Amino acid sequence: MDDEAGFREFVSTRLGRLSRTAYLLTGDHHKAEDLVQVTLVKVARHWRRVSQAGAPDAYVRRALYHEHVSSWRGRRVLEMSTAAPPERATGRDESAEAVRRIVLRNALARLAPGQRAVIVLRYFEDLSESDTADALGCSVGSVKSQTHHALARLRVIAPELADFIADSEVLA
Amino acid sequence: MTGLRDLLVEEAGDARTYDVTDRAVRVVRRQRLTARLVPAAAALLVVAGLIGVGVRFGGGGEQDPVPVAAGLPARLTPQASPPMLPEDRGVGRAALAYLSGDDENGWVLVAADGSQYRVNGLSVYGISPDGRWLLVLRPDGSKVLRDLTGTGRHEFAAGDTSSTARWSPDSRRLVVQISNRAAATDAVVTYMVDLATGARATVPLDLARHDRVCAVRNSGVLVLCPLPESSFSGLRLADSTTGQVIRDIPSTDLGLRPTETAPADLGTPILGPDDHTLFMGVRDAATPGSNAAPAGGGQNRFLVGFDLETGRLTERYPLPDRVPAAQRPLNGGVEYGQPDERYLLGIHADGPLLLHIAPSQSDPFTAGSVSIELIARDTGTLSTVTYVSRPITLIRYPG
Repeated sequence: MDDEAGFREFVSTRLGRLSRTAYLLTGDHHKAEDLVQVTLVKVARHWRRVSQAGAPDAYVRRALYHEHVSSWRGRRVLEMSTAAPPERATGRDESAEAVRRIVLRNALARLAPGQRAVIVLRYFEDLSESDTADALGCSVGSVKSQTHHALARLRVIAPELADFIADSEVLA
Repeated sequence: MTGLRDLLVEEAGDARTYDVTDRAVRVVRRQRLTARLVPAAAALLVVAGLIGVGVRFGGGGEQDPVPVAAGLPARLTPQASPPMLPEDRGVGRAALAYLSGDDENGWVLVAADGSQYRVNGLSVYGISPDGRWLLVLRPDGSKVLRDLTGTGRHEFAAGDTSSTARWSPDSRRLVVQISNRAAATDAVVTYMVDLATGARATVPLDLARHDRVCAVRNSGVLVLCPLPESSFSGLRLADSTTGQVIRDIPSTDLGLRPTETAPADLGTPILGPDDHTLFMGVRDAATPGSNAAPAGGGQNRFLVGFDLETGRLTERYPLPDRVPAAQRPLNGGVEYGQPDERYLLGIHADGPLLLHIAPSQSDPFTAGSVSIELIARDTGTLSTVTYVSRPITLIRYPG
């Protein structure tokens, strides 16, 4: 690699965020790790050009989301993965939280890859519609409609989350 | 912060740090080295490998008109509002199950007589090879094993967080592996279920860190495979009573190339009905030009069959990719759009079945046509046996 040290340094400061996003997109540790690896291979392959272009974060984001959307990993692998209860100790009602997360995880798993990507970009990454469109390579109008459809679908398949989703719809 | 964002942040808290930087760097180094130094040699290896086991079909992938595959419909069309799968009577053996992309039906079971039933559950985990047993995940996290020919059932308690299930080809045994990610040790427990009696025994399996049970033979011998993200080191056979490894088959003995691995996105390994041929998808990371193809795509994917009796590779089928990487649009330098995907769906009596997801020509967020393809073991030809109608998005086949 032409600038391996630079690539490693860049990745080391982004790995946590990248891992969390990959996990949200896939819902599974193994698949998330696979997604991160495939993304990093793409980035490493073109690192010189990517770093010289001056916007490596945008490139990495595009690579990650496109790989997720195009690969259908979450749909086609015949492994089974169900929800995990929270690993962290909290003072809250953990059983209710665990159930909510099971519902969320299963609901996310039933979204189309593009819809799931839009939800993660808009509500986890906190990107604007314009930046989301840039990351996904589509129009702002497409992001709006994808977001609307994704939230509507979440509302149907996970009515338990309706309150959470209602708040989000207002901000969408 | 919105409520949904709170939930997503909470969920993301379960992520680990997937530090695969070294692996990514090694892959790129290897690809570049291969591209610079040994394209001709690698090409010869590919040719030699294909000749050694016989090329069953070419890269074109275009098929003749639909042939018939016993037990599979020529067209799989979702029924409008199918009835719920009854609890108080049998419906007959299953042909398959599908996930409907609409919001109403979820998973639907298709019985051998063509009847369709909505499944009361979040997910269909599997169908036994003989179509008799259905394993379903319920909303409360429990799993139910249902006898479709009657009303018999076995329940697995909720609280398990991640699991896999494998059936023996004669449908007499089911192996369930359960890992509890809440546990600090990430421990994996392996159960063997006798489907005739429902008796469940714990297998004292001391799994290597990157191993999993990927098949169980009629005799109860377990086939252990490396986890998909691990480098493929070979297969191991283990006794289900003692948990002891009774045979180790390294990848070099299996006849795979050193650069071939078994990625998750080509489907999980499946043991054929003959009880000794294990099918799995492999990818050659060092295929010349593979760095120009998207991960998961390109002419570097194969379906291979290992004979567990001899420990040798006996079947190899190249998986065609009808959309060359160079023809895929780019967005900001990133490959874009749906690749032409095939993954292992199951093993029919006539040969391996693939689920083929063709790319959409108009919308990068959605797949195009979906079909089931059969690789005829006697001739090696690839043909479409079932056209799948929208909005079906996922299929489970017995086995």
